[in-house]
Amino acid sequence: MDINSKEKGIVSAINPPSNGIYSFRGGYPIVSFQIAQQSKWLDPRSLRLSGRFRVKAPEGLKPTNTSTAQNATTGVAVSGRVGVASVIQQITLASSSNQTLETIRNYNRMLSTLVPVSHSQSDLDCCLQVGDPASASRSFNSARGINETTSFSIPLRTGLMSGGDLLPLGTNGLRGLNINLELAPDSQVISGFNTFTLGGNAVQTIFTPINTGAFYELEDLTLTYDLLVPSEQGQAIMESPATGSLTYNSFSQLYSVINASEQTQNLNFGVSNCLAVTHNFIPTDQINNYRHDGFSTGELKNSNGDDAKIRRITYLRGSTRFPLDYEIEVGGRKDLPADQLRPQTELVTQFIDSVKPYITMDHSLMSAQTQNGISDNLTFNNNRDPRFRNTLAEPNIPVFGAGIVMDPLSKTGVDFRNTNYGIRIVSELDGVSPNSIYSFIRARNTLQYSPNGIMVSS
Amino acid sequence: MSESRTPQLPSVLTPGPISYQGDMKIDTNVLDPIVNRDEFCRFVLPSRGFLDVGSVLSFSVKVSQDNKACFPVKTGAAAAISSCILKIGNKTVAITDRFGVYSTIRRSFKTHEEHSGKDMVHMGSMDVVCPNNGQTGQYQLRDVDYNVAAADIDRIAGTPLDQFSLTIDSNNCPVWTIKLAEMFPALKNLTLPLFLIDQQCSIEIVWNKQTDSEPGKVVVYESGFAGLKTAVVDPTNVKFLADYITYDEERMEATARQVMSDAGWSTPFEDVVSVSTNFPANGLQPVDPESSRVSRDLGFSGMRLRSILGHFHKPSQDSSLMGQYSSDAYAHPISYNLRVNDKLVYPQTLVSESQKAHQLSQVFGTEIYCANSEYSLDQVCDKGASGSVSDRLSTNPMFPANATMLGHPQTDLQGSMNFMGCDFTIDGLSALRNGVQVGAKPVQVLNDLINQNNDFGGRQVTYFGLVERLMTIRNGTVTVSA
Repeated sequence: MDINSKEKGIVSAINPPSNGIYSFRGGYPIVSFQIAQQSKWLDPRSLRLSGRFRVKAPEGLKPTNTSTAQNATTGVAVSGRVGVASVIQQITLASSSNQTLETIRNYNRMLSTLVPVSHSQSDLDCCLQVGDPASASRSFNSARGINETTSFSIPLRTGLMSGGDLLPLGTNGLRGLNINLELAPDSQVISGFNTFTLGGNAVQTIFTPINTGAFYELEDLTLTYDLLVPSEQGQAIMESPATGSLTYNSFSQLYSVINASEQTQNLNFGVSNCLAVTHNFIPTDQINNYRHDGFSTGELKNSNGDDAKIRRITYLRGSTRFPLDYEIEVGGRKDLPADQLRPQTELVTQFIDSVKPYITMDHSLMSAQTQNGISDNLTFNNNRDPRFRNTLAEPNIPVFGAGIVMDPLSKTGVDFRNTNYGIRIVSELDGVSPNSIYSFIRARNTLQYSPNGIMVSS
Repeated sequence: MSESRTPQLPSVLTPGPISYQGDMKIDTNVLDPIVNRDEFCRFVLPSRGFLDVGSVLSFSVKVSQDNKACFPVKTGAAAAISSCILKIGNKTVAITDRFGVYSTIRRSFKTHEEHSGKDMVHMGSMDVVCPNNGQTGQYQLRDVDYNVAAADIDRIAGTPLDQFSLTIDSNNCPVWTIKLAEMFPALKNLTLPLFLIDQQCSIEIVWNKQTDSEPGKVVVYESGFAGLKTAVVDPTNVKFLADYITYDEERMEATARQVMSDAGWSTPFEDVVSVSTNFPANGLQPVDPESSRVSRDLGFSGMRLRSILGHFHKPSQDSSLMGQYSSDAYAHPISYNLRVNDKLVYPQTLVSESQKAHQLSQVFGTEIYCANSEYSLDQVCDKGASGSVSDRLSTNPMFPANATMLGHPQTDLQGSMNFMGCDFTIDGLSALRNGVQVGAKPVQVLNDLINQNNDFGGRQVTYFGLVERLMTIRNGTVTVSA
């Protein structure tokens, strides 16, 4: 279809609070936008959520995230890996007739894996940070960057918006778009920041007293986007009721808890074209807890703080191993000393592949530094010294998870409507340390439109 | 959508991989300029084969004392070039004016890997920032030498690595290279068939020459340096490394037949048009912030405009680490809108620095590679406070106040890459015939500025229009549309 011109669009939220400030603490945790039905195409790559963001220390004080000693206003920070998007707990995309197109619960937890797997340290400290002042490879840099109220303009990384295909907003298409954002609790979003000792041990700085609660606020929220305007003939075609369909990717999320050293999680995806599934883990007591980064993506942990190493992992469809017909063995026998364990390479490779095709992975925060605290960058001078440790990403703050691509060859997806997905994890969990598993399912959906309305089949 | 816009070029005229099985020969000539002065040089290209876009200009720069100067950190050796001109016969086919400024903007969209691994070697730039040595939550320049014997918090005094320090000696100096495609955006999408052009093809370079009273024009001297702060291109090291591609006879003849046909051969290409202007200074230092509306007409009438870039330099920053190539943010952000063909581009005036950065990123299809605090003063200023700009700037410095590079404070980098950009291409991709046709009225940029206490000196402003032109080669003669 011929495109005649491009228009810049902007819409404000349709449910503004009386003081214009959205916050969980203030009782305005829902933000709704409407993009009207029109005979134009939406360029999803251009869609940005924009506004102003600030964090406040207890009693509404301005944060002072500097090197000063811990006090009431120092250590009020959000996750540098997720950035401002850490305030978004759930995104729902729907047509103007409220036909749901995609719902992502725990969107911020999803980004805690998606962003660091596919963005390098430089990406976080620079190009992402220009649109998202809280983005940074080190938590202290992120914290310092939000000492002042700052503007942000961030993409919504949903499946529908990440596909790259233009989205028709007319009768023959989505018929307008409603976007609902649900904000996360302050205690999940905000935590302190870390500095590191010579040995790579983290020293946390967090506001005191913690029980008085820090919080965040958003204001001047808008959605900006580009609309492509077809020729008059094209607009007429978009408006005359017809039958057709479009396919798009979508994410969905399921939550479960693992506690035992050998446990199989059975999840009912209910999708017919599952492309990939990605899991990340966090000790359950660290969720909604100011004392801990609610977006950490470490390994399973026992309650004493030690990593509960995964030793074997099996992906299942129904009761059969799928798509790998073997167990991924990354630990070996439990009685072996740590230095004789098998490397985690295969587990991690599949995990990365579930986020982004492994062969195209050219930018990532994951490194020996983040996973194991080993500096792996060389300076540009003749001495080949390692880059100074404080300039690298945070040591021993891993980007860990599990995941698998269901259909790497045809990329049409695998049917999980009537069959459960399973993941069996054999680990060093001690049975008294519940860990949460966030499972994100990427699937292919089909939207069918007709004069009678639109229907989504997943 | 974009198929109809893709020019139908013979594959040998399009840079990039081609599906071709046959003989291909690449000859490299090291050309000396036929005119060679320290302010101008001219190369004449022989009529042979296709000119590869990877051909490079190489040169060195002489300063007044060894190891006392480096290039403006985000510009590199491009600061030595004032303008690049591609001529065929007497016609100017492409011209890139204010090349240092254009290159500074263009380069900021390369990844840090390219900055460090390629450009630093070729151009002597030092773009990359990283978390600072002292773990104070701030940033610093990365690829420079710090006093490694000091404690973490005291590793603050940066100097260029030895191989990037400039010298006075023509024989013992670093030599820099700039690719043809970087000098002329026109040649990003086009391989010139020199053997089919009857007229003489030449490349002219107008060099910048830094006198003692023009700091930051070509190089940045160490802070407090007492000698002459001059810099000049050394004519003895000026060369053009021209790569010519020759295919087998059948393929060369096929291209020749097309070019020599009655219709000839036409292709659109991207060119850069620059417009220099200024934002006026307040005559007196204002007690309270003073806002003003400044509109500027850009003479792009009749052109097919792909995008507009803007650069706002504060003259008082000439001596800073970015020299004359910084684009300095106002503490109160500029808000702007554009009017093209009597229609406002944005439904609302753009104020938010992050939104502006997003609009800028659309011009090149990728995010700008600089820290938030390099792009704007958003993170640095207390927007709620009253008082002068200097007070505001000190509220949350994102570079350590005592970190230096050649003695210059690295805090100079804050808000120094505040470029403006607006993309008009329909698909946002590099396909040509994709921009907006500007009518008789010029494009208007409507700026709202706020001058205040310590920032009232105005700005030197350069706008670049990336426009499409049409080149036609018929019977050996080249013509270019306006």
